[in-house]
Amino acid sequence: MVPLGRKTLFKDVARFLVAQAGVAFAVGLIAIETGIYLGFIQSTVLPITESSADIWVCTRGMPYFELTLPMRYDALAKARTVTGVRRAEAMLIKTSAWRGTGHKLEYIRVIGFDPHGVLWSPGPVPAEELDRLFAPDSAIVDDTKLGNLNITGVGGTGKIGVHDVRIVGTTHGTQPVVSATLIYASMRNAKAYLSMTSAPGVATSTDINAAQAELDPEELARYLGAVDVSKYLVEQGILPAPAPTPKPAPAVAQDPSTLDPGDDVSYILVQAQPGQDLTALKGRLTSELRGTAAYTRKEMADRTSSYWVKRTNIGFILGLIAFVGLIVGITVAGQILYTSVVEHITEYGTLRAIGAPDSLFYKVVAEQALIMACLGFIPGIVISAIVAHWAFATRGVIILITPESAVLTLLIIAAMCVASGIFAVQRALRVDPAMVFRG
Amino acid sequence: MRVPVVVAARDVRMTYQIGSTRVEALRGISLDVSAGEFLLLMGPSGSGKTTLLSILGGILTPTSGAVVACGTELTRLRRGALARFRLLNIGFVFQGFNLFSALTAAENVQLALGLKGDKVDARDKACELLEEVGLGEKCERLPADLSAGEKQRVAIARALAGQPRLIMADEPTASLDSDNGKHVTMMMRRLAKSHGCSVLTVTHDPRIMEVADRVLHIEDGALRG
Repeated sequence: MVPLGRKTLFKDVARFLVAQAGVAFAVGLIAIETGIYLGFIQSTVLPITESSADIWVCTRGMPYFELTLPMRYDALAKARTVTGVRRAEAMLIKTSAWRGTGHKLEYIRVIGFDPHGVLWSPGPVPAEELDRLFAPDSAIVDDTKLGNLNITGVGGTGKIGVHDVRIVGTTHGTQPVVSATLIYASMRNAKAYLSMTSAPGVATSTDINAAQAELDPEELARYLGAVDVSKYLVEQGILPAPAPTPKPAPAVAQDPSTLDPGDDVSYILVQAQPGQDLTALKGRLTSELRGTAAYTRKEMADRTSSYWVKRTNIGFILGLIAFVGLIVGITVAGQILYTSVVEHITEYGTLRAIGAPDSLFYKVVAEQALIMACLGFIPGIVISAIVAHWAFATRGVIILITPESAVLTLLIIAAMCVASGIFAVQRALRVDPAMVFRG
Repeated sequence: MRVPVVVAARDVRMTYQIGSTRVEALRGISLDVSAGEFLLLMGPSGSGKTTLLSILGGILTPTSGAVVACGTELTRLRRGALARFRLLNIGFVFQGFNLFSALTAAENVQLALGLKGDKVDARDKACELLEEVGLGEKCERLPADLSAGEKQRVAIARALAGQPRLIMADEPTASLDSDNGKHVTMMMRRLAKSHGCSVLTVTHDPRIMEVADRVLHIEDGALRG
């Protein structure tokens, strides 16, 4: 059989290329905008999905990775004694500010972790750079955020609190799109940056967290909103009255990977022994560590992505943009196919007059639709991949185009092209015979 | 000896509703087309000749009346069956040629053969038909590279593909100059006779009258004279 659809498509090369550019644009629009949305979701859970911890333990009520109340560091030792736990490591995350040169301020989140740990690390960082984190006042940052910190690279300095912090290494692809700049440090450095050491009797966030178990949520909210939390807790009899403040002891060198038992940590990352039932292990951990909740890595990631998607306008807006991109892309592709069919309406009318079966019309249009979708898809997805690569390399922004999403984009474009062609063919099938006989 | 009838129309009426206006395009037309006959249907614009051609060719279904073509009662056939009937029994020649611009002359004929299920040696058969209309050297030309007369000859070759019993031609000479018009008309008549098919031609062109076996005049949706 003569390949009418293909020959008709390729006859006018200029028109075909214009149509292909339109389909490629539609593919790019769908791939990039859905990629931004998927990349956003992925970036919010990067610190979780990149870890090798089976279970994340945190205080109850944690809505997403970056927002959790602290618990005591000695919970780590307790977690290590729970049956079924192979390894446990602590993680700390808190908000602070970076003062770069010229007193330029940058909103940051300091993540404290064990540089020699195996359950978490800030992306692809060489071992020697991780070792440098044990030096006082050191940190690592994602290279896409160097500019935000007003530095140009390793060796750059800035202030966190009263500390002159030096950047001793960089990583890449770890920075969530919507987060404050993440600063990675050893647990002890992180503790120092966040000035967590308190005078006896002064309420730390750990104390507040301990109080959480005793108070109902409304009461706790009042405490947290109070100007002088310590005073309020003492008045309520929850904390003992403060003793006279002793003179601070001179600083001594300490193991930088460990903290004091009463210090704050945000998470305890747990690796289960092989063959452990994670649900049962979660239950044992939460019963041993009072006031905590435990999540598998997937649950933790789902909880975080769900927060961004459902509870913030950022997820909604990006989702909306992706949806609009999908609709616009589909419309462009559909319009191109529809126009292509309408331009050849007389030829379709001729086919109808001479008695071609309806199936031939559908076959011709489906052939054209699939050719256009496939040939438009290739440049569209290549351009999208280049844009995604550029965005990640220069800004650390993830535009997630996976083989699955690319195939889905191809299927959507192909389906839309076919659907539009079939819609247009209806005109040919209902064509007025007088039109066919007209010259 | 009685000549068999290829097409018989009885009291064919066609009414259109355009908005609130009822238009009677055909008012009870009856006619027979005999086998091998070259029948001319003439009339002014808007007289209903194209509508009649469409009905006799199984493209339109009349509002009332009966049409029997090649032994088949067309008014009883559904859309798909009508299309199949047209494909197997009728060849069409259009005023504007209606060739597929992306296909070569041979492919235009080959397409018609393929549709009719004649796929074995379709290429050779297409070239043979083009030889018959004098275009054997131009099988690989695209329509854009052919003159108007040559295009109409390709259209005639396409109409003859698959041995139809009837050829319906709508103003086949309207786009041709005098010489080409006459040449194409003579060719159509000669080939129709040699292929054993009847021809029903709608035209304004009085030059064709001299080659027709019979001429019918239609006016205001009814046959005259």
